[in-house]
Amino acid sequence: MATFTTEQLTQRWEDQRALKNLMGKYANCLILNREQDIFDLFWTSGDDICLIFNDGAYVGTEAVKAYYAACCERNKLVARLLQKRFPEQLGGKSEDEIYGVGPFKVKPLSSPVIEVAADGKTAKGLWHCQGAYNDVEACGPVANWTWGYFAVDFVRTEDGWKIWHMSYTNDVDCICGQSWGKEKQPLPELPEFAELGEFKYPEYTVSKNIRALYTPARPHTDAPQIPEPYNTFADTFSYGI
Amino acid sequence: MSKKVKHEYTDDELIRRVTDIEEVKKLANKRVYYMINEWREKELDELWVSESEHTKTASFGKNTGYYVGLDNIRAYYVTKHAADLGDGVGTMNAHPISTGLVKLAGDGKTAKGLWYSIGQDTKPNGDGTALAMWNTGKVAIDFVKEGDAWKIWHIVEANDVTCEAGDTYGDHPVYLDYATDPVAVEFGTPTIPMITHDATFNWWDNYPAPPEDYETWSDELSYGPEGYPEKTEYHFGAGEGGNF
Repeated sequence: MATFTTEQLTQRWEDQRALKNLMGKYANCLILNREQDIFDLFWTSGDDICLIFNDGAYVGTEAVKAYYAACCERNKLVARLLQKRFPEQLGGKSEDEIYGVGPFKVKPLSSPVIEVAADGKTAKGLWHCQGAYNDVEACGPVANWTWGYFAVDFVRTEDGWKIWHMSYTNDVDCICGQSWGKEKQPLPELPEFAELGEFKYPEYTVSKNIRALYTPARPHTDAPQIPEPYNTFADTFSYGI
Repeated sequence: MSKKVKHEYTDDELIRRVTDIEEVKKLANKRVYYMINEWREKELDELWVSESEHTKTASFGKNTGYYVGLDNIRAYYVTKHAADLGDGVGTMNAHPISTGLVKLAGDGKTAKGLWYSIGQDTKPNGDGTALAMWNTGKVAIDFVKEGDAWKIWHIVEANDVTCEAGDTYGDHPVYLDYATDPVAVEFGTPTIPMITHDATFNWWDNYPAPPEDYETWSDELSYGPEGYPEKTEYHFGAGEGGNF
């Protein structure tokens, strides 16, 4: 294990704080529906960056950017449909004024295990996320529990720490008030929100089952790999695909 | 009890202390993923104390008592649990911790931490469904440094709420039946059976209490049974639900 001077220890503590703050800001951007800002604020660029979900991954700058742009377009669609549904409250307002009405994506992060490489060039972090997305779907407003993990590789750039690979995968995605141990009871579609059922995110760059959601038939499934102390990125594993 | 301590530290000592606190938090957080992975034996081997002066006083507490000594902890936490777990199909747990409060002793040899956990335990019913339970409560841990590494010495998981997902907690009976309460049943018969935390009244019963500043270890500070406070300190003068 590497040993560090007082100055190095101080730098490493500041790095760790910066990484926690970066992820805290990321989660706050989700709450505020500021997906349009996320890439420029928090990501590095390159062909090898990736954003991973349970069933696939976006790889490369354009694909990752396209995903966040699609989130933004969906937010706009939700707002438009709510404006139609609630003309007294939202009628007469511009698209900018109503942007963000509806979705409330809460991704609180806990239990961080962060390792900054001994060379200080990269870092890795694992968080548990006991989240919820309270959104408008084809059935109208609905709240869902989402229990999962943010597993992230970071890289130090001239502009500070940036996300290099991010894996956000869930074990539980379940309507609040129902049990994830029982069959999902879907809510009936409402005609005024049916258009949301047809909304499509961009195709993944890589479509594959990364992590199966929990079912009573799922074999025991480990959390993403826990970061361990490492000297340089070549000495450790990658959260990328 | 704990005492307010006032120190002046050098820069070297201060950053060492800050680093120690981060290492302690990381250790508690790692345990979350070890539990998710069902690495309980690995947890005891890697994250818990290994020096004999500590292993014999190591303890694992829940609402209904304490297992004391690493061998007794292992018999419950690893062996019994493995039998309950079966092949693992349809099982899942997560006990993430947040709201951490960590105090490092003035002498830097021990530390104490308190967290809150909104957790879940899910196991198959055998009919294609599963019993998914919310389990929320405080997690209190004493840490001790062995060599250069921080290790877990005592843990108390003080459960406040156990409720099936999809149920309304408000519809549950106010008074627990310890013969059927799933947390008590799972815990079995510990080395020291006693009611440590009365979940009926939740926060009225301030156990385990938040750590305070302290200079050096003494048993009365422990989250193990030796540190269990006199019940007369509790609310309503040891009345119903306060003290048993």
